[in-house]
Amino acid sequence: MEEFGPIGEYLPLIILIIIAGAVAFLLTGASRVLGPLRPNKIKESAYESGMDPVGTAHERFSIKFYLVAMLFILFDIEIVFMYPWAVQYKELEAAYGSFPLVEMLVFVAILFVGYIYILKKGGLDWD
Amino acid sequence: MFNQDLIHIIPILFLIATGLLLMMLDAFKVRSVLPLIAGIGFVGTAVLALPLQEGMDVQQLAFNKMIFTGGLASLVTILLSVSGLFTLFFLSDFLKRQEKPIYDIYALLVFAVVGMILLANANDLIVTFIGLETMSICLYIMAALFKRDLKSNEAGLKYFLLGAFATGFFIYGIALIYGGAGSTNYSSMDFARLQESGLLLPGMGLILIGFLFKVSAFPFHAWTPDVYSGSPTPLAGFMATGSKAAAFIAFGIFLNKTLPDVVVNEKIYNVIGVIALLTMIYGNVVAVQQKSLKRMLAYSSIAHSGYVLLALCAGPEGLMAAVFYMFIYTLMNIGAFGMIGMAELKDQDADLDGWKGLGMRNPWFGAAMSIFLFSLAGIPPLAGFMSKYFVFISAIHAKYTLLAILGIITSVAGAFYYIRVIVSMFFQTTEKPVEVKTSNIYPTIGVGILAALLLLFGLYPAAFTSQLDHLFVLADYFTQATP
Repeated sequence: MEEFGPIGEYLPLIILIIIAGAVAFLLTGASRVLGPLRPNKIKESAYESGMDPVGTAHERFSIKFYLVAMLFILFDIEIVFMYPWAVQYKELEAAYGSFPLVEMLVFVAILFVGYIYILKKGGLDWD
Repeated sequence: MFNQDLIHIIPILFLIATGLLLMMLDAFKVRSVLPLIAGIGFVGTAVLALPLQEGMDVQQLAFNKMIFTGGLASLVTILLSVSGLFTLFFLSDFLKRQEKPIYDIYALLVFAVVGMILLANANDLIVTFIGLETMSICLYIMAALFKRDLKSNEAGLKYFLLGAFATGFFIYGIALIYGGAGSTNYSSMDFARLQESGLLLPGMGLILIGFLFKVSAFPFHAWTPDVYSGSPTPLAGFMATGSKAAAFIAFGIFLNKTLPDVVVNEKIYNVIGVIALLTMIYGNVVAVQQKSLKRMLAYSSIAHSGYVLLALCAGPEGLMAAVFYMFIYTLMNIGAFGMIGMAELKDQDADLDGWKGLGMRNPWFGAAMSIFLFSLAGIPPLAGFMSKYFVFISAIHAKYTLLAILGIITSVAGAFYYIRVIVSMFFQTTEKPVEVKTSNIYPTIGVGILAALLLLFGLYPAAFTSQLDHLFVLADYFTQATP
């Protein structure tokens, strides 16, 4: 990429941004042109089936939102740990045999214990 | 290579497995066995940490030099398991009498001890941090355990907010040290570069604040009385002993690992020495004015932090004295907090007034409490005297004679408020006396064992200290660990 000057290294990135932008415009445009348009008040709101974003911020809402959000973040972050493992898996297997696989299974098992715990404790019940 | 590492940390793995099992048993409502399983977990961890295998009695490094195992690390693992185990003796009875059926606490207790073991055995600042957080988060929940109780809520919130703030200081200090030394691992830090970079003092200072908060040293002590008096009483004893022991040992390792290689160590030791003195004076003076027994013991735990900080100024010898001190302190303070819990009624604060005449009505209770209080005051022939002796002698060997003498004076002044409780128990009467009504036999067994151990270590310290010397000599923390 050196022939493109100092910007050259970023060329693939720029192409990616252009393609991603084009795809996004294409898809939203296509659904607007091709799809049936039957708007109603709820569909028009900023967060469909969420909370009304306009109005006073001092409104009371259920503390259960926090619990669900917290549990979601917890498991979401835990799953992130699997990405580097999956990317490196071939090299790990070559170096240590089946040990990395067992290691990840143990990790998932511990997560599963946590999942059963919140399920049984009623952490996922809304009422 | 991996398998060897895993063998090294079997005690920790065993304790984690126990914690997971406790969570599952609680979730599936098999609740009557929970204290027993947790007890087996602590005893098993202590036994697995004993240097039974060949080569386990030497301090080693595992997991890319991230954690210590064997030698002193084993001893520390045993110390922390013991602190969890004795808390357990008082816990189930206390929860039953307070009519708070809470069963998650057993898993929490186990995970808190896991965090403490990691914290105290870390050879890497990141592992120190992970251990500190694992421990602290469990402790925050413990402080707020009674969620309908305002005082418990207050304790949890105060502890959490201030603790999170102190953690911020700590992690920023780690970042600065990492920036200067190029590593977070004590074995591969480049101290010459750290010194040149000018990040040494800021980084050190911030990490110091983090540690001093955790051990409730003088300018960072304000949370201690509120948190201890709001927390469930046996758990307050656990916070005052286990978490402080782990933080002190990590602190000592940090000082001994980083300071010998840098030039400014004299300055930093002087700062810690002055903080130690202020902590001793503050804790002992304010404890005298307390009416509530739990608040009194909270201030007394601040004073005890001062003694251990003084020991930490004295280098490697001081670290040994600090470990011994924390071991004895764990035994006597869990006992004292546990006994306050035994005499505590539902929704009532443990008040010195109610305790008047308790020793006459219940002589065995009075005798055992007197043993704990005399030991906390450091009166021979109890173990508390031996531990204070080692602390002050190590300070004198390190040429901190003036601080040691002032420390001894504050310790004598501090004996006043311990003895006042004993006087109240045996020589005074009151209209509204408290009664000791335990719902099962375990607290009595726990008190018996703890009091017997304190007498034993006080009367025949050689039986224990020779073993300790043996372990410490083999451990040889500061030469063996750096290959």
